[in-house]
Amino acid sequence: MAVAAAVAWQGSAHAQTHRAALLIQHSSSWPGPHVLWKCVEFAQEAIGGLALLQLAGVNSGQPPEIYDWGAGAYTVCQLDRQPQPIPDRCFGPMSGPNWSDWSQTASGWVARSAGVAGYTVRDGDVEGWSYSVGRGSQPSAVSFSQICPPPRAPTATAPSRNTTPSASTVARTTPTAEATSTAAPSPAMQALAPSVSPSAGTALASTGPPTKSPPGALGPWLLLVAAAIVLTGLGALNLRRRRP
Amino acid sequence: MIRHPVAWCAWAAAALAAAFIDRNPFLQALLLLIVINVFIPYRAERRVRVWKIGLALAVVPILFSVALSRFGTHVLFTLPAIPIVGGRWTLDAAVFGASTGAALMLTVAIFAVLQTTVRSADLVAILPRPFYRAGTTVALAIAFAPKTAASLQSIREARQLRGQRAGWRSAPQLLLPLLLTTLERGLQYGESLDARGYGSRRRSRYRPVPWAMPDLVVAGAALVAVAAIMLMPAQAYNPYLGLWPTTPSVGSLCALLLLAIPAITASIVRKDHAAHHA
Repeated sequence: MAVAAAVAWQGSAHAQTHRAALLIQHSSSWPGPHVLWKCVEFAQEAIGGLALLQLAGVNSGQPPEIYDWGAGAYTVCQLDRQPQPIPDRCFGPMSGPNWSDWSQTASGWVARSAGVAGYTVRDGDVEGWSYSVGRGSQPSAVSFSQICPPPRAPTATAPSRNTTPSASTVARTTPTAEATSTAAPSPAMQALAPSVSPSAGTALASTGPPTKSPPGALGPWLLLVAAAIVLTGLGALNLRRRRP
Repeated sequence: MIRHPVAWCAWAAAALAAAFIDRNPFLQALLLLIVINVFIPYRAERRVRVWKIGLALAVVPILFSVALSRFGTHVLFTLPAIPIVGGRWTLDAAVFGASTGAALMLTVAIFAVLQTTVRSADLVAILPRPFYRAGTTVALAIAFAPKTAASLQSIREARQLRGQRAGWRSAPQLLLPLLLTTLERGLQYGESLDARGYGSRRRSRYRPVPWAMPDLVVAGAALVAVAAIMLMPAQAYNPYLGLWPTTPSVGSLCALLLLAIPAITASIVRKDHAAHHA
């Protein structure tokens, strides 16, 4: 039964690795490879658009060049070394070419209206970037399975190699677990833990920026409401004092 | 009662810094409440008309933003492809305009408080010596504008009493009496300046405003508030990224509450024997 639980836990841990497809399409004059496909793995439920680009390492391993508009809004200036060099203030002339951001829906590519920090990418999403003039042209059509093919033998190669030794570890620790009552299952879990970090991508993703800030405490709201009540009372007092 | 113009200028600078740097709607609402509270005990007997300008400045950005911005995810409705206004009208754009409008309205409100509490003569009196004459000239010029508007109004009323038209076509006939009245007033100003020794190299001081305890407290609190607002991270608000604003920080709230001190001192301290100047 402990083995079954361990395998089930292993399975759910494997399902925590999410994948999103990223497509980078250069302008037609670009000398290098015209279209770039990246399959990005991440541990969180959802990651921001900028984190997706950072994880993909599309700027030859460097973070993408961005322009900070303030208030948490960013614009992407350079991806995969295009444009080289980066124009003045990211865009250069207003009519110049730029990177436009697209997300794939059931009805094809749809342009993103929020900045790169204004949306999140989930498991199975396809995100496209194309370098073009003006409001941007759609990237070429692609499907998620083209960029992120399913593992060649699902749960046959890597996962099974992981499962077998850990299962035997659990089996070996079970007798001691029965002997020393409740203390044993946690070492068994700790023994399993190292085997569930499959790739460097996930490790990087787990250190990435948090997608949402934690909900605020009650203190500021109490202070705000108290100040508002006191000030309203003071104002009413002064209005009445003035009248006679 | 706060009298000293420097204390008021420090207060206004701190309030303007808060209005420009912190765009969080909760902080904006609290600052507006504070500015209104400071305004109430100090307001003059005459009605202040600036609230109309403030309201217009608050509404116009909403209209511009919602009509011209096509960004945002909360779509209100979609217009057909008409050149400038066609496309998706979003709630995000309207909220962004409202946030900008609130900052503009706060600016007008702060200057309204400054206008009712600080006399231009007091400001000129504390100017350093090289700026004294230029300051006097500017103060006179500022005082000239409302007087000219008032005399234009009286000329129009006089024409109406005689049964003459008062539309835009009568503007040329208004201009000559207005010019004569203004020239006459200019001569009067010149004579009075001459009588007070303006142009002789000495400067006269008429009843200088002393620093009282409340003035020092207000000026000190304003300096602390400015430093806190500058040093703490700005409480930004971008409705395109998230319509619901973030929780304001306790530090920013406390910095804003320091600006309410003029309202509190005015409520506690009874009016002094000297008549409150308008």
